[in-house]
Amino acid sequence: METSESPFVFKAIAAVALLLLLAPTVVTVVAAFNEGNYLQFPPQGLSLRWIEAFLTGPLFRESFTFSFRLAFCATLISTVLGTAAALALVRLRFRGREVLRAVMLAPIVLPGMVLGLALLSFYAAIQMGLFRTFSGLLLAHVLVTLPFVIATVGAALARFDRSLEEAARSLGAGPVRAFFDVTMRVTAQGILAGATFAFIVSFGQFDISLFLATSEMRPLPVALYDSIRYRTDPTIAAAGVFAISTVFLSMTLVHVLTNRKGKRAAPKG
Amino acid sequence: MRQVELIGVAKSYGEGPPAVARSDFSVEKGEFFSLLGPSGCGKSTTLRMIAGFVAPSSGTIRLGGEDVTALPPERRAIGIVFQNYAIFPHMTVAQNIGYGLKLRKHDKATIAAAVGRALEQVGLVGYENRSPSQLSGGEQQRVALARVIVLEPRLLLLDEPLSALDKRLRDEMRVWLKRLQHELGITTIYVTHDQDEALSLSDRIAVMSKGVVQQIGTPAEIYERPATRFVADFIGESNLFSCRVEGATGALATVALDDGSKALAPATEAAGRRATLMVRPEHVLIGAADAANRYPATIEEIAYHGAHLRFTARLSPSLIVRGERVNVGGGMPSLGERVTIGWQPESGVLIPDAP
Amino acid sequence: MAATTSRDGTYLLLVPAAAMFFLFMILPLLVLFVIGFNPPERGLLAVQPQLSLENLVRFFTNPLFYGSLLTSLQLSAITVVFDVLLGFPLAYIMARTSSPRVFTGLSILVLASMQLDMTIRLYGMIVIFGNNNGLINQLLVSLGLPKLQLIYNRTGIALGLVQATLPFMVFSLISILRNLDRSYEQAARSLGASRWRAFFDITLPLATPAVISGAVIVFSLSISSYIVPILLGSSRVSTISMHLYQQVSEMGFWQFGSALGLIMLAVSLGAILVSFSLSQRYAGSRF
Repeated sequence: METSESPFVFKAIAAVALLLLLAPTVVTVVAAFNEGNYLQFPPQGLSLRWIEAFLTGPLFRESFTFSFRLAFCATLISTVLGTAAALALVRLRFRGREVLRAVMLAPIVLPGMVLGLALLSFYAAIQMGLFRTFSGLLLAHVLVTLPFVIATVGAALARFDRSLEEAARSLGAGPVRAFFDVTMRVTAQGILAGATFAFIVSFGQFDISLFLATSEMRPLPVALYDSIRYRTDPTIAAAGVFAISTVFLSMTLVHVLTNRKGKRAAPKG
Repeated sequence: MRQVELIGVAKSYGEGPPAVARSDFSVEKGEFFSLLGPSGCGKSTTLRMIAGFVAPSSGTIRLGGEDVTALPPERRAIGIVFQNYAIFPHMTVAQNIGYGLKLRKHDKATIAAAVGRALEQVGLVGYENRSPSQLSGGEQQRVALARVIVLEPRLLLLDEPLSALDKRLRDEMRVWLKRLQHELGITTIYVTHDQDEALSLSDRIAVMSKGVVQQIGTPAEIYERPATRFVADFIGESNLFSCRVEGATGALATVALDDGSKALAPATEAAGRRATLMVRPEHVLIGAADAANRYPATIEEIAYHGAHLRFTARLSPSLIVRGERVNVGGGMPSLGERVTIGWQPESGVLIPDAP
Repeated sequence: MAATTSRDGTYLLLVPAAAMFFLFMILPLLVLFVIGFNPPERGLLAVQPQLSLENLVRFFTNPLFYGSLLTSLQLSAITVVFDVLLGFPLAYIMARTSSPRVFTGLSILVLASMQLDMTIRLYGMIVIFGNNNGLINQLLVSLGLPKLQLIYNRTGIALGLVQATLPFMVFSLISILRNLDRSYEQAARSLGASRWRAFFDITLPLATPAVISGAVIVFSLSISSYIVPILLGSSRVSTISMHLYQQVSEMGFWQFGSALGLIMLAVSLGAILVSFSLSQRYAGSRF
C-alpha cells in the first residue's frame, strides 16, 4: 500500500456519497417486502402483499410490460442505426465530423423535457400519424438512446485493430463480409454493451416520455410519477423492485455475455 | 560517513512473494550508488521506500544517521527525479523549480535568484517562462534535476531517468549527469535495469533479483568477481559451466565439468562442493598455446560485430563455449574448422551454488 | 490515420442516424423555436405565421416566471457545488485504489445507481427523508428530538438533484484522475509539500478540466429536471421546469411553454459554451 493512500476525510465523504447514491434503492426494495403501509425501523415483517398488489392490479403491470416492449423496440432500432453511425464516425475523416459527432451525442445533455415538448409540437405540425401514437413515442426513445450506442460502440471500434479486418479483406472477403465475420465479432462486447445501455436508458426514461405518453400508453416511470405525486403507496416500491431487477438482470446478462466473448476474442496476453 | 543506511528493509503486498525480501546496504556521502536488476526485482520498491512513498513492512531506513522510516516524504529532504520527470504541466519552468523553495516560504527575490542559478547549473539559462509542453525530453529531465538540486537535498534519487530518451541523447545525458553529480558532490542512488549505465556511472552497485540484493560492489568487482550465478549471468556475457570441485593444488583447483572434462580454476571453493565456473568470452582464446585449460573444439557460429568478432565453439556434444575477440585484423577461423580453444585458469571464477 | 476513400460506401452508414437526428431533433427544435415566438393563443398547438416577442416579454416582466429561473439557477449551482464536494473524494478513492476489485465494485455501484429509474430513486428518497414517516424523522423522534423538514422544500430539491446527478460528476472526474500520473503528487511531496498541500497545488489544478466538464453536465441536468422538483419540492418553490409543464399540460399555453423551453435550452447551451472556453484555457495543462 502506497502511503499516499486516500486520506480519512476522503473516505468518510465518499461513504456519505455512496450512501446517498444507494440508500434510496435499498430502501425501496425493503419497503416492497415490508408488511406495513410505510417503512419503519426495524421493519415490521416480511410480506408479499405489495408484490401481489403489483401483479394483480392492472395499473403498474401494464405500464411495466409497455415499458419493456418500448425499450426492446427502441434498443433494436438504435443498436443498428448507432452501430452503423459509429463505424462511419470512427472510419471516416471529413470536414464537420466533430460537429456531426457533437450533434449525435447532444441528446445526452439536451433537456429531455424540452426535446419531448419539441417533438410533440413537431408531430402535431407535420400530421403524419406520429402525434400521440406508439411510433411517435418510439422514435423519441430511439433518439435519446442513440447517443449511448454511438458512444459505446464508437469506443469499442476505436480500440479495434483494423489490420484484422484488412487481413480478412486480403484473404478474399468483401467489405460487408469482412465486417460481419471479423469486425462485428471482435467488437461484439461493445455492441452488446451499447444495446444494454440503450435498453436501460429507454426503460428508465422519464423526461422525454412526459409529454409524449398518453393514458393508453404510459411507460412505467410516467405511471410511477403519476401515483407518487399523490400518495406513497408501497405498491410503487413493488413496481420499483421489478424495474430494478430488469436493470440488474440486463447488466448481469451483458456482463456474462461479454466475458465469454471476451475470452474468445482477446488472445493477447 | 554513511549517508543512507537500509537495515533489514522488506516489503510485501498481501499474499505472494515479497516485493523486497530483505535490503541491507549503506551509501557513503557523495557516493554514486546504483540499484541494478531486471524489472520486478524490487529496485523501484526499494527506491520508493527510501523516498517515503511506500512504507516498509519491516526494517529501518536511516538518513544521515537519523531514522526516517516513519517520516512522511516531505520531511525527508530527499530529491527524486522520476522516470517520466513529473514536471508539473500547469506551472512554468521557473514555477516548477521554485516550488520547493516556495513551500519553504522563501521570498520571491531569493526564489528567483536560486532558480536562475539552478537553470545555469543545468544549462537552461533563459528558460524561466517556458511551459513544460514546449520542452524536449532532455530539457524536461534537466528541469526535473534543477527542481531538486535547488533544495540541496541530502540524497538524490534517480528512477530510470534516461530510459525515456533516445539512444544518442541518453549517452550525452549520462556523461552530463555524472559530471553534475561529481561537481555537486551529492549522494545519489540510481535505479536502472541497464547494466551499461550502472557500470559506467556508479561508484558501487547493488545487483537485485527477486527482491533480494545479490551482490554489492564496485563495477569491477561485480563484473570480474560475481558472487552469484544470477549476477554472472545478468552482467555482461558469460560462459557458465556447472561443475564439481575435485581437489586443490596450491592456488588452483581442478574442477570436473558436467561432460567429464577437467579444468583448472582459482581455488576459492572447497573440494567436493558443487559450483559454477564462469569464463567471460573475452578470455576465451583460439589457439591458446600457453593456456592451461585447452580443449579441441569445432567452430559452430561466427558473428561479425564491427569492433568485435564473436564465435561459438563446441567442445563436446553437451558443451559449448562462447568467445569474443577484438577485430584487429588477422585470420578468423572458418565455420566448422577444428581448433584448439582455451583460457587461463586465473580468468575463471568459481561461484558457489546456493545451498 | 488511414483516410478511407469516399467511394466504398462507408458514408451511407451515416445516413439513417443523421436523418434521425435531423428529422427528430433539429427540425422539432426549430418548430419549438418558431412556436416560442408565436403570439400566445390558449389551446392552439400549431405553427402560426405571425411572430411576436410577447412570450419573452411576459417571462421577463413577471417575477413569478423570472424568479423561477433564478430559483432553478440557484438550485443547479448548489447541486454542482455539492456534487464536487461529495464526488471528488469518491472519484479520487476509486482512481487511486491499488485493488482492481475495489475499483470495479465501486464503479458498478455508481453505474447502477445512475441507471436506475429516477422515479424509483425519488420514491426511496421520500421513504428516507419524508417529513412524517421518513426514516430519518422516525429516528429523530425515537431519540426525543424534533422532526426536520427535509423534503417538500428547497433542501429536498437540492438533495434529490445531488442524488440524481452525482454519478455523472464521479465518472467525469474518474476519467481524468485515473490517467493522472501519481508521480506528480509524489514529486510535490518530495519537494516538501504535505499531503493536503500537494493535493491543492497539484492534483486539484490538474483535475480542473474534469471538474468543469462534470459541472456542465450536472448543471444542464439540474436546470432541466422536472421530476425532482415536482416530487421533492412544493408549490412554494417553483422551478422553470415546473412552470413549463404547468403552462403546457394544465393551461394549454403552448407558445409560452415553448418559450420557457427555449430559455432552458439557452441556459444549457450557455453553460456548455462557457465550459468550452474555460477548458480551452486549460488545454495546455491537460495531459
